[in-house]
Amino acid sequence: MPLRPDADTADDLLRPSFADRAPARATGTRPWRLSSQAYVAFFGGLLAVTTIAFVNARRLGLAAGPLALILLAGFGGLALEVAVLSTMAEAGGAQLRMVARVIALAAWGGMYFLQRVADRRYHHFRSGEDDAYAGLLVPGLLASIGLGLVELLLVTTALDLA
Amino acid sequence: MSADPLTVAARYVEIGRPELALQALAGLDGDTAAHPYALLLRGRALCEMERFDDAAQAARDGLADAPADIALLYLLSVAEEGRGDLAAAEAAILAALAEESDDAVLLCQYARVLMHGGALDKAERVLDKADAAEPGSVGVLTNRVSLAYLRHDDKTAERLTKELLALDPEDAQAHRLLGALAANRGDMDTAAERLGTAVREDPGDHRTADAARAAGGMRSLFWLPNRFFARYGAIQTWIGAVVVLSLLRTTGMAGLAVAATIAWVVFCIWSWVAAAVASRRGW
Repeated sequence: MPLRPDADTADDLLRPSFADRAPARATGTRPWRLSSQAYVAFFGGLLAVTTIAFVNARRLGLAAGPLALILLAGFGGLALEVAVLSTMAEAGGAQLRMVARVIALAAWGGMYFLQRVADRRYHHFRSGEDDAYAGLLVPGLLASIGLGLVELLLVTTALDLA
Repeated sequence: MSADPLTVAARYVEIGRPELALQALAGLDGDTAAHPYALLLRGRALCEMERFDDAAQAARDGLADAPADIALLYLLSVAEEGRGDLAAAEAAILAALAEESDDAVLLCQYARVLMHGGALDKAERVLDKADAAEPGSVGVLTNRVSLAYLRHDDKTAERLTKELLALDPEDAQAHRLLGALAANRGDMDTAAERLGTAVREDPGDHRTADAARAAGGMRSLFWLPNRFFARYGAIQTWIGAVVVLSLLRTTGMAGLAVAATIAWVVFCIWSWVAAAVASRRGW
């Protein structure tokens, strides 16, 4: 059965674009809503939201480039957070927390834009088996508490060394 | 005199009753059941029921006898797309286009496969070619709506959908798209109305029926935060909240800042819980 047109006669528009693409696997892992990730950024901080966004981006099938950019936004944001907080020796706890939250939310904004086209594609082409988003309540809380504490430890250690 | 089972099955496929089409096809004898046209009808019915593995097999069985059958290649492409194998879906539709390179229906299916795989620019060029082949085609317009939607260009998607409705006021797909766009901006009244109309026009579309029920349910007060985030956008809402809270703090209104922070946290937790409830209900 000839399922490929003759490459010499087909015009450029009708050349295959996905010839090497593996079939999408039904992993049963649905993505999370992008807007829900903002809560993780606000309550859990950079490490938590980077982890959640990275896992979600993989579920959405993002390529290696955007995945790397999500990690860059997360760890770049963490470095920025340490740098900014190290200049605020006189500031109170509330101000420090506010700065950390603003940086985490800014990083989430970048992660949101990296995921949003793939998220809409998932939403538009979803099949009967994957017609809903997964709940972020439990994983979001776990990430916020667990990785929030890890981030606090990392940042205070870095500030002590600075 | 009883009607020919193939004619009956074709009619059932046409009116969106795939299970009855399969029943009619089950009455065919061996040779007729293995005929490419019978396999095409079987595959179309199976696709309608989202049994894409079986539909792809029916298309392949038919293509064994009629390797250049455009309708079977189209069916195979749709079935493979449903299975998530975009490489196979593309190969099938390109094989059909090798037979009829200016067929707008085939070009639209190729554009759909490209959109599914994220090749949006190429999909637009394929739709331009389809438009040139069949100017004013409803299929092309429908796919342009999808393209605009995937590009987050909701204004263009809505404008094109209204053009689609002007061509056919009973187009279920157009009502469904307008409903989805309304839901995306948190307008659940319009969403429920549009999706309800889509279901009335196409009663067999169970997914749209579920979406219509969800939109109707989300009109209550419990879903207020989710409608708010949908209406104003998650990023904009968060930026607004952080700016307001920062201003209250920096201007020395400590009491108000604490109250606003508590209100914001409650609002966030409320929307989070509501999203979890929506997810549990399959919305």
